[in-house]
Amino acid sequence: MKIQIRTCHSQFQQWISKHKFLLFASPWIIGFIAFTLIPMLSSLLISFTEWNILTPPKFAGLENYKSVFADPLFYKSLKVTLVYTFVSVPINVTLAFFAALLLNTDIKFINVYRTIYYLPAVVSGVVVSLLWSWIYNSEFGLFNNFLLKFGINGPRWLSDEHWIMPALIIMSIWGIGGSIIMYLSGLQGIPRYLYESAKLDAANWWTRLTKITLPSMSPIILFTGLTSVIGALQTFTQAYVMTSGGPNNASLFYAYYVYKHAFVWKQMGKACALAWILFIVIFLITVILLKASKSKIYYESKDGGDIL
Amino acid sequence: MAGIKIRNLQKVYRDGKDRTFEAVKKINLDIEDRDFVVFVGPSGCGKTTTLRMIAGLEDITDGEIYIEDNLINHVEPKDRNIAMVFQNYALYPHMSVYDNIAFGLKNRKVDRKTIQQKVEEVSTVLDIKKELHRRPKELSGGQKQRVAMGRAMVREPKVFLMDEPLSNLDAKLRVQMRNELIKLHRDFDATFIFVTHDQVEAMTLANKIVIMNEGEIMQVDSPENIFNKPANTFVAGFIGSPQMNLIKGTFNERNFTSDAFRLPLENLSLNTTLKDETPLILGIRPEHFEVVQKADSTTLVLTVHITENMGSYQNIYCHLNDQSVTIQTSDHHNFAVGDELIVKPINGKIHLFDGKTEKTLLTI
Repeated sequence: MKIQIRTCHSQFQQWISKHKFLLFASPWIIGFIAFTLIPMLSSLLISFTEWNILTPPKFAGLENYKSVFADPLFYKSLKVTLVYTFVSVPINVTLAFFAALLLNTDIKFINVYRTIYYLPAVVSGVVVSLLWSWIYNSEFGLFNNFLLKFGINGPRWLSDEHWIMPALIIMSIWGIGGSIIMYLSGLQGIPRYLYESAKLDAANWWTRLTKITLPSMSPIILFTGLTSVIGALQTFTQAYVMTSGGPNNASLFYAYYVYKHAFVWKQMGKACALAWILFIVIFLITVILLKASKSKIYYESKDGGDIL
Repeated sequence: MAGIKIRNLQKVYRDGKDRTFEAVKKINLDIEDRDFVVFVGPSGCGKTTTLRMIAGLEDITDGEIYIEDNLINHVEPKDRNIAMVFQNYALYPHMSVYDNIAFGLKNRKVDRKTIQQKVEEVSTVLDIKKELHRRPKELSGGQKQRVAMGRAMVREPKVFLMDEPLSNLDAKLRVQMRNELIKLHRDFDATFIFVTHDQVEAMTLANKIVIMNEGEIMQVDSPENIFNKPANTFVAGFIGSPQMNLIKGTFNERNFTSDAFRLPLENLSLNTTLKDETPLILGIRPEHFEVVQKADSTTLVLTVHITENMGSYQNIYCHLNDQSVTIQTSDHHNFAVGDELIVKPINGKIHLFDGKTEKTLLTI
């Protein structure tokens, strides 16, 4: 009996010593299960119920999804979000890239310039949104005052349904600091001898940019592009703080629409259904972008291209 | 003719504050057309900086560089009619071998057909024809080296600049590439400038060696003269392995005298007359000793420290009072640590340097 216990004990010890890596990974594992996996699965379950938070949920089958696809505002919000994403992200990626090129020079006080460009990125989204509400104010705002200097009568940025989207896209440029940092570190990782060799090979500035810098940076550009797209598809703060989705739903961002269902109209079931649809949309767009860019991305390691 | 003239060439680095570092100190050098010149010296001696100034990759602080009698100080690297092979090859990682070799020609707007023809020619010479469609990362070190050479050759430059191009190869491949470089130089109508810290590369490749130390040229000469007639103790110690023995002493009554032995200097042709008590440095290569049985006033009595059997010869590291002396001999002796060894310098094989200036006192 004693012997049996001992073997049992040693087996347990063996199991522990073989799997103790789990212990080291446990903070992440527990966090992932508690804050990602369980909420995700419960939102999937909730999306098949009718639930107003106050009373117990009732099973509703596919009713929520039917209701979503019959809702004209669903399509409107999807369109608003997609337009914002696919206009602002390319602009931001390009601007951030060229800003990084400029900041990758060896002039005096370059660290000061780098800090200045990055500073906006540390300000919280709510503050930025409030700040820009004032900048865009049609009467006292900085922006229209600036335009007035050139004799242009600026539009009512935030209350004109045609100008709200351009206004938010311009505002998104405020946040390129994060990408600039990524690009800067990428640029500094490109070996200098490649440029020296290219100089001897009679490559001009443009050739060096397109034939050396861009291919070397392609994985970083893809990464920042992808994360920007994913982030833009989840835009919420601007709509919540600045516009409440208006005017005439012209800034009805998808994530804001989800929030309205969940916490304003207490339709948790439909909100979860909307959230899952967004998840699938983001997933599809990511897959498409990765597939489409595969041949254009250069990875140093052999298997790097096989993300999918 | 692509001769290169370097006049009072200087490079000073500043670090933003007031500190400066003079990497190249007003050097002068004449390189003839079709020379194979090797710059050799320890790390930080300014050899690579000089090469990079010739290439146009480094600003010239002061002085002039002429290629074919044209001042090129302010000529763009691409217009200097040079090609460079970098230490780490500097192949464009995202381009195929073909595109790597063709890149310089494409940028110079050479037409497609000519490019194709030239790339094929070069790749045949270098035996990399099968590799043309591959990416650099799929190549071995030797193949990368060939591609880098091909990229330089395809432009048919007047001057080839090479910055330690063989240092990333394994020993066997290095010997092979060395022979190929010699062949290339023979077949190519161009001047080669090669930078290395490896004296074997310098001795085997060059027809003219430039030895540099701390930003200054120590000696420029043929490999034979560099070895046989070193101009100063630095060159004497740098070229040759094991290193030349340098023994301190003084001039006394036509003799080199140290506290351990004396050596008559009658048969040497000196370039100056020496006074008594002049400090001297005697240079003797390890292979220029003979082992003798009996000690007299002109022999050195050494204490064996370490012996190294190299197969066909033996290196014996010894002590002479507080100095170390290395002996190389092809006769095999069995010495134990602490054994006594009596040797005598071979007549006519010794070098003599001024103890203060460290320059040779022999007529060259």
